[in-house]
Amino acid sequence: MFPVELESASFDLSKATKLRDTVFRLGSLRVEWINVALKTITPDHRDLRQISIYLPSFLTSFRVGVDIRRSIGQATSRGWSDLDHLLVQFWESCSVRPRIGCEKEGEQYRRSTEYCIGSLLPEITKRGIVDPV
Amino acid sequence: MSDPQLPPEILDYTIDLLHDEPETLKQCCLVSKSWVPRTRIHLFADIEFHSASDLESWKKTFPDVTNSPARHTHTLFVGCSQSVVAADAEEGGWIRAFSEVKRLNLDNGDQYLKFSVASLIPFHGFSPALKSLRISPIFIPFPEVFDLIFSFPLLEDLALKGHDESWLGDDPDGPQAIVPSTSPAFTGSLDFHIFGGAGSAARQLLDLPNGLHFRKLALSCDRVQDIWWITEFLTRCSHTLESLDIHTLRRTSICTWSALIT
Repeated sequence: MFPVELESASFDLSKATKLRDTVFRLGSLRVEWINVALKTITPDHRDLRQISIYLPSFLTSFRVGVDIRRSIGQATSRGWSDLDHLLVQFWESCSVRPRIGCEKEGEQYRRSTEYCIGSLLPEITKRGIVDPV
Repeated sequence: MSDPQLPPEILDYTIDLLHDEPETLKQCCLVSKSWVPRTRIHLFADIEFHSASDLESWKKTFPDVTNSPARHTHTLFVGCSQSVVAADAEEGGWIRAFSEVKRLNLDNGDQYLKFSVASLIPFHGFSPALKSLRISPIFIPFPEVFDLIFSFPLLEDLALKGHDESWLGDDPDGPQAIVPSTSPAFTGSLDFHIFGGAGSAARQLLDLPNGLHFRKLALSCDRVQDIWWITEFLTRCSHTLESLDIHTLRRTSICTWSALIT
């Protein structure tokens, strides 16, 4: 049953070669569907300038210092590692700097959002190739 | 004051430069009667009826429908459709005075329960030039909503926000609006945020004879059953798509996404 549904669930952007910007707004911590969509972007997408990801707002309730990776479980964590790797590739291949943040605005959320980004996407954070949304 | 030596095209040009300064435009109206027609074009370009009292105020100021500045309006916000419909019935086609509107925003906010099917009918095709339509929130059956949408042949942008009240759920074979032989161009943006089952509404758009050519897609889903139409919109618009914004709400739970991706 799942392979058939998986096929229909895959967001295929391979033919959308005029794509300039994409925004993914997460309602949960699973990012596999974003990874599937990003993997369909090819060198033919010459106009791509922006990839933005909005973290689910409940993430801001994580306290700074909490081991988020451990809290979210291995499978979910693996999805974020894949996303981290993909975003590095986008930076290296077409200089696209990802913009990542949270829908919630305000100073009180800024620190926890930054902490979550650093925990979930360590490589792009380390390289300094992520901008806030 | 009147300045007969000022060529009219210079006067028009000068007033046009003030198009986004309403207070200055109002002052211009006091300078000379000859300045009034040009300033009206800008002063009444963007009209908002938030409440019945806004509407009453307009009707009192401009009792003659045919000579009202409604024809200068390009952007119309209606937050009290019931009152507007009543005015339309009283005055025999009051809405049609706004025949040059290019952007219409029907937003009933917390009055949505009064937002009935009847409240849409007078708007059908009222402005043939309409290019952008936003309806929010929708709590009426989709066939009626699409009857309205299809009455504007030049429509480029469409924004729908609400909840499926047709009780069709995701049944794409449920009742549909009558699809016109030539559908709107739909070359702009689609904001599609229908919750509780958007299948029938999505089908209406996907079945249009001229296809979809949106350059911008902003799509929200709260159910795993919504994936098929998101995929379809992406496929149909892939040749024109420049901007994509997908929002998965929490009801599309971790488990369901996980099940589909694993």
